[in-house]
Amino acid sequence: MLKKFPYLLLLPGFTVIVTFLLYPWYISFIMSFYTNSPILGISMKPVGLKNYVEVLTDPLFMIAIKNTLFFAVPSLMLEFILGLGIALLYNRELRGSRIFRTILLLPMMMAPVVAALMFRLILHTDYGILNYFLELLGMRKIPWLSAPQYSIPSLIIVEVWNNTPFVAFILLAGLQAIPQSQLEAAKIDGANVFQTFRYITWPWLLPLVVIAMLFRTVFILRTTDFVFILFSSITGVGNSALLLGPYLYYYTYRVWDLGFSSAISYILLIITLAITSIYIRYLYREMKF
Amino acid sequence: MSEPKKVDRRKFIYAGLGAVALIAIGAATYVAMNPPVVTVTTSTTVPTTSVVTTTSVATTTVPTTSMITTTSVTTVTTTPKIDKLTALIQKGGMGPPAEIMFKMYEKASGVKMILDPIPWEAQFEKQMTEFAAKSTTYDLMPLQVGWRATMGEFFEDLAPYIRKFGPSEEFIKEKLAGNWALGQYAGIQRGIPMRAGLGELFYYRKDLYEKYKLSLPRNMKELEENMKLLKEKEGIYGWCQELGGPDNIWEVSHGWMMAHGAIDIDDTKIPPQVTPYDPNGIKFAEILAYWKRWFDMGLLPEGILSYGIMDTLGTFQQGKLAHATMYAPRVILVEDPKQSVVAGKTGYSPLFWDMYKEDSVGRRMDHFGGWSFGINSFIAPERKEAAYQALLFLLDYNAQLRAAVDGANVPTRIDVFDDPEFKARFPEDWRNAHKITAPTLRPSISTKPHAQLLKAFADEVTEALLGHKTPEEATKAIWKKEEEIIKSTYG
Repeated sequence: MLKKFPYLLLLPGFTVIVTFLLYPWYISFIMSFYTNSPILGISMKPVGLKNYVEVLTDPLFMIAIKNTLFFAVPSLMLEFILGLGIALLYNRELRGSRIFRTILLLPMMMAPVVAALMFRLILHTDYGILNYFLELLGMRKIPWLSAPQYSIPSLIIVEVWNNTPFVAFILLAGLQAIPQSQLEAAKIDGANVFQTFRYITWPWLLPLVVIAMLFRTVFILRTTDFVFILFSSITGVGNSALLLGPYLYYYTYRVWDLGFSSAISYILLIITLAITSIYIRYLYREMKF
Repeated sequence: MSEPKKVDRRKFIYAGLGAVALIAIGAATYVAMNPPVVTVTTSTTVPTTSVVTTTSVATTTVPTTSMITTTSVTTVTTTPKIDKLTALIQKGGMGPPAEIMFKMYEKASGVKMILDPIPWEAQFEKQMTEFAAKSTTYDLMPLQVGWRATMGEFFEDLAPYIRKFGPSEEFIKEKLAGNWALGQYAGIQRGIPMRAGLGELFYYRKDLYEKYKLSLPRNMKELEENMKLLKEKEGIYGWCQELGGPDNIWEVSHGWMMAHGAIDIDDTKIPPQVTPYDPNGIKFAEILAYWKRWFDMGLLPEGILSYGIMDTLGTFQQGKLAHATMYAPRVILVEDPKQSVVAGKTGYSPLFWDMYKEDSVGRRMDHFGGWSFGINSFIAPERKEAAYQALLFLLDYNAQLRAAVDGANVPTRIDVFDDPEFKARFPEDWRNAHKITAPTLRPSISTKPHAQLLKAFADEVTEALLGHKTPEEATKAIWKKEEEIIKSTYG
């Protein structure tokens, strides 16, 4: 009995995982092969793979994929470049660096909804402060939130502002973990800044880069709140801001076709797993030194 | 021979306590899910509340109660008597007047009302989630006029309660008139209406109209002339309404369409039917063409395609708009001098009232929106009657008056409009607008594939306003898509 005591202690946690994670996964997976619509009064009517086929052939899904790609790739690149730059800067012991580190925390600590609300006011076409300054400089107002071609750039601005500090802090932790002896040895051997970065800093930083970008990729693929708040709708102007997250939201909470939305969520899961496996497989390969 | 194992006392006690805790949790769960059943013979006394009250402002109305006593054999669970009810309300909008009315009921009846406010943006999802889960968290839930088809069937059919407790047919006809339909779907009364109002009331700068001796426009051409003049003379935008998102685009478009006697879907039939393109679609294409022209002429704010409710309201309050079409209850915010520079300077009218005959393609309809409250059909039967008593109170004269005056509500009781306190609070032409449109009121269209129809409609309107399609192409596409959606939903 006492040998099994540790298992007893694990039981509550295991129960929570099964109840709130594994069981819902199982149910939603089964549901993806059925039509389930409370609005139409249809409960668990089997349709086989029909939901998956309809998702993959839905024009809106293609639009969401395209928009998500155009949103995610530039956002991730900017977050990485800016995050790395900030981390390298903060790694130096400059005067006031502690205060700047605290300031850097602020965007990250701000809830996405609050950040989006703030940028809605900043980017407002008619009353936003950004357009006010543009007009002061003699430029034309830019319809950030009301023209389709600016929807994705507006989202990128908010996303990068809100999440670059996350990347910066992870990379900063990595920089501070680099053994000083290696850096000193490189210096003694006459390595310049770029060589030090390429042969010493970067290999040490790579695992953390993978982790940071992995987290960011997974979260970016789920972005929904920014769209909702910035554009007062889940699609933006036309479908210019329809991302995979809002696409799933639309079918789950507006159309209420739960079988169809379950299929969407599993396709989204496959996409996410595929992307993250690429990260891990190809980037970790570089770590063998 | 090996020594017997020694048992650690501490470990043994912990294991025992753990086992006892698990058993206690299991037992408590079992009891909570299976309360003991007791059979009793009882005289049940059901309090009723009369909603016919005095109309004088000076008297405080106390609901009169009459008791109906029945003797019945009932099987009841040993649950406490119903001394509290839960209601989901909106945060802002219809929430504050609902809160006023429910708190008044609490005071009058002694039944505690627990209110849970949810933001409008999340309300549909929240309510549908509750219904999909067959949740009994809320006894009372709001029913927006446009949601009747999608969630009406989750609300209790009120017919038995109406027969037992009222309101009478006479009361409905005299005091509620067309507002009673706000809580109806497919001929079944699912809710008691508590908030009404013209969906696209025409707000205009009365001071500027007087200054430039303008008359109220009777069609879009006259509106355009007024807008051009005011833009030139005053440098303000001509018109605005929230065109951000499918929900807003749908409501605005239908308000304008209906004022011209046109409509795209006849939801009075089950299944709903798409109306003939000629003349309804042709008229909407004309409306869309005017909007596009005004957009290109700079008569509308540049950001209008992302405008929500607060953008339009705020722009009007700041005096940057000559005209706006907004939901009627916004009048309180427009007339608040602390928030609005146009307080006392605004006029109100139904949109294109007294329209020229040649501009209309059918019987004028004034798009009206509103809210009812209904009973969650999943709650226990013994709670439903208690819930209905709370609903009935929403028709109380004094409750509606207080909700209107203190909560910026448009009452569903038309006799409240003649109350001196109401008259003092709401401008005369605003009240007049509601009075004269009483015969032409038409609730928002409500169908089961509401979300898909909204999206299809809004996508095409946006394409037209962005210049990617002509208004005719966009309107034809709307009619076609609506046919397809209705066919795929209803077969």
